[in-house]
Amino acid sequence: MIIDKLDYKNIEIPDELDAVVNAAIAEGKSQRKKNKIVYILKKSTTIAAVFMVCFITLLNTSPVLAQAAYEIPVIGNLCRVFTFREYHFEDDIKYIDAKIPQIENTGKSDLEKRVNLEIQQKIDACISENEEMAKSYYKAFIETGGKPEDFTPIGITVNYEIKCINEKYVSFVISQYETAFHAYNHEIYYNIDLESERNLTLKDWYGNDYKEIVAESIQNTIAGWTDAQKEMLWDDIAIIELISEDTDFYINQNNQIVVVFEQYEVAYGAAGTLEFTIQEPVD
Amino acid sequence: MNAEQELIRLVERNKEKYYRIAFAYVKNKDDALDIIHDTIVKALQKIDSLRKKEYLETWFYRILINESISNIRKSTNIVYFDELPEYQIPAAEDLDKEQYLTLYSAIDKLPPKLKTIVILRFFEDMKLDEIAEITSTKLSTVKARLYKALKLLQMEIKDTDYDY
Repeated sequence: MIIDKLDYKNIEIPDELDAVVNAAIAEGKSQRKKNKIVYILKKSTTIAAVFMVCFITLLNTSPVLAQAAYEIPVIGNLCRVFTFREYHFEDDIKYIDAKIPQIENTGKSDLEKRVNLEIQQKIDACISENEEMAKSYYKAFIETGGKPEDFTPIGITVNYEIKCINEKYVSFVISQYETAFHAYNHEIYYNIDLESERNLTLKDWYGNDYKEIVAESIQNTIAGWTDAQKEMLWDDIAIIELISEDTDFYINQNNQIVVVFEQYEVAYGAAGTLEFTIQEPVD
Repeated sequence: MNAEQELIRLVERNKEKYYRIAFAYVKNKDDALDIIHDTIVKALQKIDSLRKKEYLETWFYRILINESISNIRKSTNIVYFDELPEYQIPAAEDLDKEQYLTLYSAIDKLPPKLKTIVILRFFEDMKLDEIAEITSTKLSTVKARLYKALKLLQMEIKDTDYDY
């Protein structure tokens, strides 16, 4: 038998390949770094001084750490430690990887507890939901004649990213990515006001006119898009109707609000998740 | 050189090969690029879990293949073999040139795991024991899958053609 490999060897290599590979390398490297950092900034000046010396030395000797340090938010005299709990579970039908952020030493222990508890509950709920789903997929697979050894385990990854932290608030996102027969990506945004110990909403930030302010800014951003970008949007979308106190957003390093629309919420899937930085209204 | 640097070097050297493998599964550029992207990101994230550097390439292939298979599983227009009419692919020698159906297009009809074996064995010219390593299965399972794949493709197997 002669195998004709010509079609295979002739698969055209697209021009985008290099860019995709480079972007993926950058993304993979930066995510790896993020998870490795434990943010520690000490209140005590003596410890801080010692810490600074070590830190400067490390910065000079390790290029990897120098890049990583760039991502540590500086928060003055306050002491906040971010740690994470790593969770890994694997069996025949699923594998779960989770990195769970925890806030410590905000100076308000109730707040710490509450934030940690909320995150914990959200993540536990998400893991057990996924376990149930993995079980039901597995059951359906076997019942329809699949062999146990042919079942590809369902993968669940839970990760997090800190968007902003300062004396007033902390903003972060927990993302959950699941691979099964379809891929499912879910992100939970947290913006916590450290003084009032409440979850911030857009209304808290912009006041009663928040819907108009946010919608107008988004529309202005869209107005500056190219036609090709605009074509990605659903035709009958009214941005203002999507703005509510439940709208997802985070606070960026410049203290700006960034509103996030999940994939498919306002545009075709190819547009992915859309983010809009909201311009402060001019009085 | 640390593991991360080696991984990046491996990817940069072989990206075209990896792209072809991904493309053979999904047969479209966008999904193939997605697979390459996700594979690289995942590999970099998990590089610390790789204990022995000499398995780097096998390990990378494993991620690439898992990503390719999850990509076809999540796509909605997948046709499972069970749903296909009984006989689709005529033996090559029965066809004249115009009807000639290459193995490359025929693999679309195979379930993902059998597809993996055919791609690695015939297009990437890997040995069966290498394929067993990559797919984390026993050599006997690989042989059984290869046999099943060829049977499904209605191809004649002649012992002399394979290094069983």
